[in-house]
Amino acid sequence: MSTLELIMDRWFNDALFRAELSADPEGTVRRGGFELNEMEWAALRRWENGSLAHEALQPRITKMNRGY
Amino acid sequence: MRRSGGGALPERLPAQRQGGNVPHTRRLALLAAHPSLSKLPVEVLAGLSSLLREEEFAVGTTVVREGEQGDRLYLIVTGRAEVSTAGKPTPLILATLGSGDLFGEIALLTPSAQRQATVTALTPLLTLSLSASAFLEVLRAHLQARIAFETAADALITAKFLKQATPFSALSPERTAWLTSRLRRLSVAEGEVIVRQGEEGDACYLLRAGRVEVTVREDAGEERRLAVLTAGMLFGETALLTAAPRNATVRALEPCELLALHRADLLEAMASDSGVGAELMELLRLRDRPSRVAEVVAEHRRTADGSAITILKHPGRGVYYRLSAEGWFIWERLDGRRTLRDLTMEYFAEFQAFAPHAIAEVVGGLAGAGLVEGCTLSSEVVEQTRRRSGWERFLQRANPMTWRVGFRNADAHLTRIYNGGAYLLYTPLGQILMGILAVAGLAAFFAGSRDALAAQHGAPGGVLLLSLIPAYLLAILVHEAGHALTVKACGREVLSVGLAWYVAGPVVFVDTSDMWLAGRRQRIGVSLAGPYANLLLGGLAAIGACLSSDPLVTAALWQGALVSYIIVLVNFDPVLEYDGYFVLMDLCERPNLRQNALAWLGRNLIPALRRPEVRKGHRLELMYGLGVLLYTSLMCANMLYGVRLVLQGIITRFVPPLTAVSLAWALAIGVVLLTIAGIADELRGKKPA
Repeated sequence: MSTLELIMDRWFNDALFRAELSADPEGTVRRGGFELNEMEWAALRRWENGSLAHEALQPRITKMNRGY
Repeated sequence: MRRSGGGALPERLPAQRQGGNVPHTRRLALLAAHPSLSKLPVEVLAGLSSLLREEEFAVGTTVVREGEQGDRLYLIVTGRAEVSTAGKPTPLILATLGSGDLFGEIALLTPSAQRQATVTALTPLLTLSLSASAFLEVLRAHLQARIAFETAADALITAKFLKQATPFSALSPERTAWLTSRLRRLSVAEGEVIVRQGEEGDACYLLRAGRVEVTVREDAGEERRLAVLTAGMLFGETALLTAAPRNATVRALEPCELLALHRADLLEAMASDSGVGAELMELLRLRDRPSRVAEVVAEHRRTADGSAITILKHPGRGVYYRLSAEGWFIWERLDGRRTLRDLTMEYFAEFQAFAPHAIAEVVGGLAGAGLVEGCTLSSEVVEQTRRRSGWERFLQRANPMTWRVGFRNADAHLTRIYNGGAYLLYTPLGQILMGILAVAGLAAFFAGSRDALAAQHGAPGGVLLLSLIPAYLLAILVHEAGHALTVKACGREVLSVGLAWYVAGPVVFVDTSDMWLAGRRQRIGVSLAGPYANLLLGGLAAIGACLSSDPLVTAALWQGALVSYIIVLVNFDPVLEYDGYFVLMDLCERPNLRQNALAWLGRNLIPALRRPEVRKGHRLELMYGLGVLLYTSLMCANMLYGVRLVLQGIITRFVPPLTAVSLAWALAIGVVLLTIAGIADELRGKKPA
């Protein structure tokens, strides 16, 4: 089992770890004592904070959207 | 007199003081009333009483500190104290103690003698303390008391565990104590199966010590490891929340200590604290194996900057969803077999990026839009998660934009109209003729304005005022027909046509959401088609006004043209999410512009004003968001001053002046408050209802 998988198991099951990793990925991994190889460190540095550009599109209802 | 460490103290009261004011009978009564000491013989209690030392602590004093060595226990005579343990970012409150409660005994019962929690005086505290040696001597002589103390100590350590590292950390101290009493302690040996796939489940388990592996048996019969869980993690909850059989097997990888929780208690814990419920739902979502909804269709295209995107459409729900190339990679793998963990590993292999949170967010968004199916919650859990606040329900009902009646089979009729002749309008010749009509109509409008105004002065006012109503209704119908037929010209579907209430009056609406599947030019074309249709209608009316010799007809037609041209202008207002808004959004390739701009502004307004780097790449959000806020402020001011006065004038005709003033103010303030609440929701990133 790779270290990345161990981090993932922790991430999926520990809300506090999720919050910490989101705020400071590298620091949290170092403090947690996880040892990563070069490729894994690089992957962690490319931590994508919800940037997968996805969204539900608003209905295009002419004359019917929210307006003030 | 000695001082102990602690918080800031009032000057007149020392942190700690020893004395001898508590009478022997009171000491004896306190000892005899404590559950762990009550079974001791009276002479033992009397002996203990003589060994007790009185100590007083000022408010805020730390009586014992977590992690330090302990050599005494304390019995509270008067006052209150708080038991807490280290937590992030603030200490976690475990319990509040009062007269008759005991603390500090756990350190004396454990070999390390370390304090397990911090106890702080909430009020001036008078205690009776006992040395470790005297306490242990009593326990050695009285097994029953030892068992009682060890049970109480275990409860506190369990409560501390619950607060520090489990999904139940949000529970109040009282509910934590309750949950602690409901937990069953279990020890399992290495290799032992705790939960078996396919079996019915009636309990979930908190891993207190040790490691377990979670495996699933695939259809082919081979076993696949899903995860390895460590201390503080919960398992077995899915079967309890979904009322489905166990979906995985959990086996101990080493000797483990477990805390088992029955289904009814789990549901009660969820019901008693929304934070616990939310965390368990999150856990369920993250451990799920989601699958695509079968009827969803996908269309791929490139944006103006060359990025590959995919638009998903759920035909039954009329839902549209935009995915990046990476999002599409995830979508393709949502097959009901892969967990989010599997997806994260595959994403890592493909893009060399570790992004479990981003993947979870994509899957969560897709599930929220009804494009992905996951585990089905049991009816009790659904009932719990469906609860909404009264204020949210009020806002939902008070939102006038939610009142509409639509005709869903309108597309078939529109297709017939389009194929029956309306398609001619979209031929090159049709476009040229319409262009000529629009230009000629505008010229006729301005050229004939002097004559038309003169005719208006001579015409009876009531007739002209009445003619405005059909002119307005016709202009709206033509406007919406322009949108709808252009959707058909683009080969797309009109999802719905109907009537609705918009701000202050009824409107016809057309749902052109299917245009999300089309390219940018076609989308802009559909948005412009409405105002363009009004331009044509206005042109026809203006030319008719010029040609007419009847002053009344001239005045009415010119007025009708004016209505159409005003509708053209109003529809280019980009703040009100009319056609101009959609044109701006499509020109900039920024879907959901208003929603995203206001949510961004809500998060970043202050930093964006101070630091240029925050504004970088978000100029549109900043400008649009500030524009919406400014526009809304002006509208609110107009509502409180101008519209209120008009309302007041109308209401005065029916009720006494004072009542009219009150009613007008109440209406204006009500509308302004609803508007502010709506904007505040958008700034907080809550999607429009």
